[in-house]
Amino acid sequence: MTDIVYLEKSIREHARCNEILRRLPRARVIEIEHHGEVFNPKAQNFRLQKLNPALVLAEKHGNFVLPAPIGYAIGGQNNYYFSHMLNCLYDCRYCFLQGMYRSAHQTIFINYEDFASAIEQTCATHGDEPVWFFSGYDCDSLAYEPVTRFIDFHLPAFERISNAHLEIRTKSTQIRQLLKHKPNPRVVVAFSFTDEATHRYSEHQVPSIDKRIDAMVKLAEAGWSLGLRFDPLIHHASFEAGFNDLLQRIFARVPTQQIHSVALGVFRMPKQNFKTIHRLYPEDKLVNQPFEVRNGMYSYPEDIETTMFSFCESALLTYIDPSQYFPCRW
Amino acid sequence: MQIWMCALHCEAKPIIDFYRLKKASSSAFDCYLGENQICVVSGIGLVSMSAATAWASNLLKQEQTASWINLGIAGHAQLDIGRYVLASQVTLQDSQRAIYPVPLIRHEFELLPVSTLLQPSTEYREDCLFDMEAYGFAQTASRFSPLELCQCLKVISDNQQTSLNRDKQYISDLIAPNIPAITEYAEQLDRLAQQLPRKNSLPDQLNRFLALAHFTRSQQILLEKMLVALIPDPSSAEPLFDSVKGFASSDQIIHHLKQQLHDWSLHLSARDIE
Repeated sequence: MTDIVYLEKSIREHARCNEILRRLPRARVIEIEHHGEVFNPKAQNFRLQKLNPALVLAEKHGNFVLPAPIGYAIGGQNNYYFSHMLNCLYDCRYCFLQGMYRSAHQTIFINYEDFASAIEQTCATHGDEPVWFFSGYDCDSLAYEPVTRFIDFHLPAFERISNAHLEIRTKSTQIRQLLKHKPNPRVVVAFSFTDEATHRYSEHQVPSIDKRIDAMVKLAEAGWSLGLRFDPLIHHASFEAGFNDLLQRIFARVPTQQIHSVALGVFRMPKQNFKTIHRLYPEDKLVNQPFEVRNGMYSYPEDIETTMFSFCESALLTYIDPSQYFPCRW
Repeated sequence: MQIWMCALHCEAKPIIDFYRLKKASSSAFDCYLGENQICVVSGIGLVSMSAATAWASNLLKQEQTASWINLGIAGHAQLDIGRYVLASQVTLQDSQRAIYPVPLIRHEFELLPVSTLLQPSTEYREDCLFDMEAYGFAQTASRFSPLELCQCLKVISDNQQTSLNRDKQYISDLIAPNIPAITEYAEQLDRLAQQLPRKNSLPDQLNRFLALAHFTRSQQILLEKMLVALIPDPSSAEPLFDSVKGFASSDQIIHHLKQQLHDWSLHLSARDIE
């Protein structure tokens, strides 16, 4: 549990801050002027902070909703993301957040109402067209839900906007709040998976594959639309057997009719982020894999990437309909 | 390696005694050395502390990241004499700029801001401690180690009821009773520093490989990076060295090591997974 909370002085009386602090009774609170003071300094070590990250409570000013990166889509034409939180509870060695931020502290922007207004305004600019919002880009959407109650706040907001669609992307099993709500057909709860060997090697603190499948089954039984995200795919000596095993375990239990979408993407990372991660973890196997730089991204050589993609695609399409499948090529 | 930075000898003495540090012959600053500890006495004030901290960094081996502790006295309006405080924030008098020494270790000390003054003052405040060195220490030490490993630990020596007693024995006696808690904290900080990987490959190992052929500067950098991963400890060096010593050129050695690295990285073995 969080030991330290950095709190922006200007929001110390905010009701949501008080609620969050009540959920962390043992945390020591350090007041700050602006979250950048603790989040941005150069002389920090992400790897060390990841051992015991602090929580930063802050207010976001502007840029609540941003266009989603290219390839970040599950069938919609209008795609946006929003980040009520920066950083993730989990510690996955392939994650670009390690190379993007100087700090591993979890920052929560507590002005949820401003996010909701921005989402509503964005939807209004698209008339009746469906607009997709992705909430798990800079964080795990659900992992910190017991503290943030962000999804709890936003589900009713999304229900009110008739053309708003939401993807909640997660590796967590924190579904209790979701199960309290009536399923919304415009909300997809998408679970990310890698094969067992990659999960055990590189996804630290992430719930086991079976526990995540359990969570999916419970949500499916409650009527929620589900997503599967096999992104990033990590290459290793027994990758193909591992991927097949993963698919078998998932589709043996999760009903395919509840699957809204399945996305697939091979590991790729912006050059600068990768270099930062290599500096942080020079001895780690994942950062020493045979990557090459293509179009400013570290990724596998084209032949390996193509082989991985076609193998996974073929394997997947034995379980799902092509209309459910969304490859993420870059 | 752990470095203790104190302004006064009487602040350093309990640490010197506890670790049985030996005085080093140095002219710039009083310095005491042990197996894994260095204690430097800077003299009073921000500039002295900055200079001594920069000077102490030269005593470190390049490949390891050190942890740093600024141990000293401070004043506060209300806190009891002898109370221990870890700095949650360090500011310089009249400056807006703040440094946050990231507290990753669980501890029992108070956690409060420290404001570093350029001149002593008895205008005590309740929201922060006054000292005369912490800002110089934090700003300089964080050039050499991350802020998580640069901590300021202060003992309250004066407050509104009790003016500062400059007696050396009095100051040493404020620190000495808390040596168990202080050194326990220091050990945890040192363990934290050891979680970081070596900054460079082991110099002896690198030199052995470099002696096998002529390496360009960029090949040397690449070689060094690969050896950090391929030789996690000296015992793994020999088989790797044997595998390349027959090669005649640096290109061949680099190519072979790259292959080794990639093969290794693609096998997520049972040992990794456990």
